[in-house]
Amino acid sequence: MAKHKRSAAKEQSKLQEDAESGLRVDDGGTGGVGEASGGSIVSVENLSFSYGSGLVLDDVTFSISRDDFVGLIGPNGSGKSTLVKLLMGLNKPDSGRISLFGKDIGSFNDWGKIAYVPQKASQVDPLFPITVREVVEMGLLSKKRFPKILISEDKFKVDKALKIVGMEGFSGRRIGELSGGQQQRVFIARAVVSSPQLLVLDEPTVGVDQATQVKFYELLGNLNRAGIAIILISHDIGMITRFVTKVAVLSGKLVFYGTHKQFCSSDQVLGVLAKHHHLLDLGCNYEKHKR
Amino acid sequence: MLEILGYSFMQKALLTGVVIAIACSLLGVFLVLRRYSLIGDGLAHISFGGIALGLLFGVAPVLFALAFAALSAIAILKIKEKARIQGDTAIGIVSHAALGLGIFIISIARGFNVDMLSYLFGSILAISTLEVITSVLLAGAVVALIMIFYHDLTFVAFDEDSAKASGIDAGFLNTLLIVLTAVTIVSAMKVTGLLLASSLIVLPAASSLQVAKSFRKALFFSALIAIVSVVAGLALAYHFDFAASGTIVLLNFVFFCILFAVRSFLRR
Ligand SMILES: Nc1ncnc2c1ncn2[C@@H]1O[C@H](COP(=O)(O)OP(=O)(O)O)[C@@H](O)[C@H]1O
Ligand SMILES: [Mg+2]
Repeated sequence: MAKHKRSAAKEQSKLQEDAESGLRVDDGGTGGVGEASGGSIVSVENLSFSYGSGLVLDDVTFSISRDDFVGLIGPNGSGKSTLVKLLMGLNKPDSGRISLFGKDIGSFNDWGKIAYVPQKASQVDPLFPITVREVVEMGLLSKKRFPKILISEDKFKVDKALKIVGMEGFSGRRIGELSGGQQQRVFIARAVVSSPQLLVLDEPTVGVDQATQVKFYELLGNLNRAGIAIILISHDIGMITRFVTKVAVLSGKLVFYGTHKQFCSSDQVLGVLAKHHHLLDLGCNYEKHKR
Repeated sequence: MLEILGYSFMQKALLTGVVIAIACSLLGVFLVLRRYSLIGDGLAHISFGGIALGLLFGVAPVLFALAFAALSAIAILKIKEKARIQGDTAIGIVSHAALGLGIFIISIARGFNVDMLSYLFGSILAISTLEVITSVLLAGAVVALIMIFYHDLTFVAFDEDSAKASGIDAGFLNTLLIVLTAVTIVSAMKVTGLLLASSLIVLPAASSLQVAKSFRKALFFSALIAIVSVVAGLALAYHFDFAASGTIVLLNFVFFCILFAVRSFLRR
């Protein structure tokens, strides 16, 4: 498995190189607006949102840069899914501003740069007749213009993406037959197949055993080092804090946003979180052991 | 047996029946997977109301039904969106209103009961060349549009949120799917009858889903089952003087039972 991952990282950087050398012509429009604003690819200012009654998100402000791996944590119902749905343009903010790659979300149309794995993706209709390969192909086809046709190069991209997540032996299997963890890896493959620059995952490991989760987060770490910014939502704080570069704690308001180190030394934040977590495993002790 | 192909009425019946079977069975896969199986039935009721209105006003009933069904289809989507009502309840509201309207019109206008029956049950072995051309063109256009939007329709059916986040216009595709279903139902009306058209949406798709592993195969098997049942059904109906639409529906049900048994057997 370890061998897989190393080669997976290599595969991914190859994917990135391909993208950089050939496909990536436009870089946010005016010669890299992203770079100009300190490499920020997501920027949220004073964002508020409600589904009708009661604010779900209250005056949230933060920004994410190209090399970030952000762990977005918070108790159930704290607005994590709502926040990423706003970032994906699935909901409209009540007030505040969202910019993606330097463009206001209202005029942003380069969705090919972003890949999203929603929370319910882990609840696949078990009878849906679709193979692993077909699911990954969706990631390519959805970014194409009409007529949407797969060319021979796409076949290699799909193979590569399946290899990255260690699912190359499953391409002809019906996705409903696979375990939750395997399905989730297929969704990651669908997300990375189009060489996105930002990968957004909403609780991707619900119902997956712990050993598999660790492997999965390591895989995300590799993708991040290969140049993909990642937003990972989880309610399992202890599991993810050791893999991410930044931690965001949401509870209606954005309670904390900073590096992992700042997170572990912020007694105030730890105090807030302790109320919601019986076992105060915030991934900070683990870090001490490691050092 | 093959000599029946020499009759022009049989050629017309086969051609129209097969094209409509393909349109219905392809749409059916998307609709059944989206838990929208009964939309065909609902739109059949709606078309019935549209036909009655058309006959009442003395304007081309089929065109009238087409517009009426397409508008009602959009109304169903809007009700589902705005009124916090599940998909099948929205279908129920609109289709029963239209069915009620149809029956009401028949009762006050009298005199076209016989026409109405031919729309309900179809008269595939006695259709005119114009009806053949209309049905084939409409159903052919439906099949072409499904082919063009195949990938996006599949993505939305499988995972609507991801599809939207990829920049796919799910709202447009949902409207397209339901309007195409309305067009198919109406194009099938005079030929196979409203009842047969809606059964060709549900049964071949449900049968195919018993065994298909991939989406391409699901569409292929669904169309194959529908075609075989139409061709065999027409032959049997002609030979034994059965009602064509009833025979085709029953054959479809037999296919479903066989595939269901095959699947139960394979699972063990
Ligand atoms: N579609 C919706 N309509 C109304 N309320 C919603 C909807 N989705 C979520 N909510 C509410 O918004 C709050 C935040 O939900 P969510 O963003 O899903 O939280 P999290 O992902 O952090 O668990 C919850 O109180 C939830 O009940
Ligand atoms: Mg959530």
